[in-house]
Amino acid sequence: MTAQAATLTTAPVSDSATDPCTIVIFGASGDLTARKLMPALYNLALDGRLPPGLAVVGYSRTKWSNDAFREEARKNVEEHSRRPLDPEVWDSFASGLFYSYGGYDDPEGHDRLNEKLREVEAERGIGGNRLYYLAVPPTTFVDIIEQLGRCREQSAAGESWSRVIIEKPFGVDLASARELNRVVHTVFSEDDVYRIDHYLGKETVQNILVFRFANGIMEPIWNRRYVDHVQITVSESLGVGHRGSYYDGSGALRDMVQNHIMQLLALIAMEPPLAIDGLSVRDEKVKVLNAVRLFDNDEVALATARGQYGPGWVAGEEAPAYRAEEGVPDDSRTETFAAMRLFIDSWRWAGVPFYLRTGKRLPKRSTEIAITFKPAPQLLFQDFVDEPHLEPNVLSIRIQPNEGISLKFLTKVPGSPPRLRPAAMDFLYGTSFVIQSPSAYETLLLDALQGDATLFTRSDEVVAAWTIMDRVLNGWHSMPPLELPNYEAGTWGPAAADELIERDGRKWRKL
Amino acid sequence: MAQALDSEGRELSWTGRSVDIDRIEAELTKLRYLTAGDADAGESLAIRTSLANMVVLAEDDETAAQASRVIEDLAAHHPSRALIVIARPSEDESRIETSLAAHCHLAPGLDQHVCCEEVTLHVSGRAAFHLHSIIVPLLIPDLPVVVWWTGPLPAESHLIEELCGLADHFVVDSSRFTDLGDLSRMREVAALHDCAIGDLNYERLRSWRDLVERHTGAGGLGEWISSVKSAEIRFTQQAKQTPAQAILFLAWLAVHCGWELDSATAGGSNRLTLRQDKREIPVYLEPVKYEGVDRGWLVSIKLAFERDGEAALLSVSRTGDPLLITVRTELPDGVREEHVRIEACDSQTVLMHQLDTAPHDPEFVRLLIAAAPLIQAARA
Ligand SMILES: NC(=O)c1ccc[n+]([C@@H]2O[C@H](COP(=O)([O-])OP(=O)(O)OC[C@H]3O[C@@H](n4cnc5c(N)ncnc54)[C@H](OP(=O)(O)O)[C@@H]3O)[C@@H](O)[C@H]2O)c1
Repeated sequence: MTAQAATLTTAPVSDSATDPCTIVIFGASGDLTARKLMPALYNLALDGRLPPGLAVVGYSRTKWSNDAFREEARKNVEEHSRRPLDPEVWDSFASGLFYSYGGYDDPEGHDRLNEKLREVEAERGIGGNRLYYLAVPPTTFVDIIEQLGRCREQSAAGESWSRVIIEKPFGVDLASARELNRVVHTVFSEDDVYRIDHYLGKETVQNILVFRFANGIMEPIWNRRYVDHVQITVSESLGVGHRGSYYDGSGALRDMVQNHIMQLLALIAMEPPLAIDGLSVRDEKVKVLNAVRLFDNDEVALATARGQYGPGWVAGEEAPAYRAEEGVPDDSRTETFAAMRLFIDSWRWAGVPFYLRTGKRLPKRSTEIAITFKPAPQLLFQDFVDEPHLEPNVLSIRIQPNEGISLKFLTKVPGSPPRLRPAAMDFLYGTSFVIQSPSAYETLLLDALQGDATLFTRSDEVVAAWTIMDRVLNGWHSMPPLELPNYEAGTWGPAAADELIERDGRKWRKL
Repeated sequence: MAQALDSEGRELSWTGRSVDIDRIEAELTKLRYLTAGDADAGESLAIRTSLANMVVLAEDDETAAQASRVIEDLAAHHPSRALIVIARPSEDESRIETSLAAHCHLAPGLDQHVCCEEVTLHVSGRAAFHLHSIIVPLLIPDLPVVVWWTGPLPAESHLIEELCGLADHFVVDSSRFTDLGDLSRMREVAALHDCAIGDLNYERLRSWRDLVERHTGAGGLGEWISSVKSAEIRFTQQAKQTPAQAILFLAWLAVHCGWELDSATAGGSNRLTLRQDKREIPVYLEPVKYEGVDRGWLVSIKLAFERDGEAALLSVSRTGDPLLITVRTELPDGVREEHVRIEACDSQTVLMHQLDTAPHDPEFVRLLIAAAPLIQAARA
């Protein structure tokens, strides 16, 4: 198996499948552009995978010239690219970088941008295909979309296509997500909207579908008969860093659960799609999200937990309390940890709990999905184990770090008296493939250029995920205020998270 | 930073000063890739079969180096990711110095290497008070965690508690304790966290216990077991410390013979008194000089019996060769002598026994609970 076969891209990618076009980045002076987008585009250039003549036009309020933008981009690529800068490739790539400045809601700025785009397109002979990337804070999404609509009306687009990539967060609750969908759809048809969740661009996330549906032994046991429960953990050891003021308006549920964790849940729990394409895969994901049992306020109290970190030690370094982080108010009530138990009311999953948890300033960075299978009957080996029950088999899919899959099973310790002990059969993704995996943004940018939306979130998926989360947010809102902070930085979250799972006679995995 | 290359030019070790955990993790991942071989080049992949995380708390570089050798020798049987931690809390600057290495062995009968990673961490300054926060991120998820505490226990239990919280099996060596009361403290902390406790020092008594058990059973001195008149336990001299091994053996013996442990009283130097059915049994704990045996280890035990006016004796003692034990039984109908070669008691062997057996050893825990008054009396 090659690394390519392990991705969801159905046909082998050939450069000719990508039409000549221009990428327009809104927020070109920002962090995402610097750390992710420019390095990703450069790496695609290095692999010769960008469409011929591609132009990248940056737009933001910062007053840069083309040269200043190129200089900035070079610095960022040197600092953040996964491979070193090759001067020859860079020169050719940089000759396609342009910049135009203006406000996001400023018609003049957008007119200037359009003028520039027409010039560049004519000069490079690349027609009018455009991929707009909204790498800006979400408060500016609507302004930009409206301006794009206005400009489009002025110029009959003809045969060429216009697509838009929209960064997360897509809305802050169900109502705002629906409203954003409405605005977006006034300008773009759903087929041209690429809501990005960079988790879906990760090789191992895509590999979930390959693992599940390309291996005959998995599907027969992937159901309530064999699976005891599923745990999804996205733990971060870092705090909010310089994103304090953004994060404080969001919190763990909106920042992680509504998007990344819901996507992981959907991929793990969905039914086999008819084909690996944007329509079939996303249809199945929506179905499973719609089957998640919605909480009422009582269940929110029983089956969810939230917390905020106080000071502590993480990875050998002293960590301040969340409320002491830059940009965070000292009386903030924002949750930096969220955990919950969900049920999926489907034939496949009835009665199987899905435990989800995420948090900041936890002891280590780790994203994994663990499927715990029902244990074998004790009968034969009860004298050979220390525990009252045989340890169950656990299949864990590690998304990061050390991407891979491991299966825990019981084995006999050599010698006598006979004793059983768990061992892990470990597949480390990187060790089996010699080529380095592309970054999530490389994969997703290339997919968007090629018009493949499989790895992007559809409007109904966003609505389905927000529908689940809205109930949790409402429940939390109606509960008496919690004593915060309620967990020490460097621990696995508040006691309530342990109680949530221990009430069911289970434990969070030791990660 | 130093780098070592293997014969194929692969970098198999790494050293970094003042590094953060992310960097260590990244280097560990690199090491795993390097030891995995190149599948596309037709190289067979090395098997990485860590069955446990082994966290060693070492007092100094010398102990760390010894522990590293032990773990490497155990790797074929108990492949584990080893974290060897040396804390230097008295230093001013808070920092972590790290070296990584992969130990690879050719798997018997296979054309493949079995590789385990070893991480050595020197933690200085305030970070040394928060070792837990450094250890947790470096553990392989979901595998049992064995903590091997090689030295004396610290007076303050905070770190022990944290480590018990993450460990499945906490192994100490009470021969290194300055106060045997620490064994009781350790047991209490471990019980709170549902963590199994093991003691290499008690493990070293395995052959001695087996021999006494065998000779005081049916066909030996079985009928005499409840008629011990006095006991003498000799051990190699050590400075100031409580003779941990002798006391642990005495505790085991007392349980074995049915003596009342809570009756233990100190009676002058090196003498304890226990009771059985109101009868007093004097026990002499005698330090002696003995070459070739570590300090504090048993040299001999002697049990004198008296029943219906008749006397008997069991003596188990080292004779010259430290691993050769002579067992002598003197019964009214004659004298018997047997020479037995016992297993070595080096750290590797006793640790291997600990890892081979079920970590939860209820007999040992019961013994520790029962022995508390004895330990108390011995300290007096
Ligand atoms: N950074 C990441 O790693 C990351 C990861 C996942 C998702 N995202 C998402 O990607 C988008 C961009 O993130 P980012 O980190 O690049 O953001 P950013 O650096 O804060 O903002 C991008 C650019 O937008 C402009 N801007 C900033 N605040 C503004 C405001 N209040 N009003 C109008 N313009 C403003 C600034 O450019 P000018 O002042 O020059 O106009 C800035 O350079 C966000 O939606 C974020 O949620 C980012």
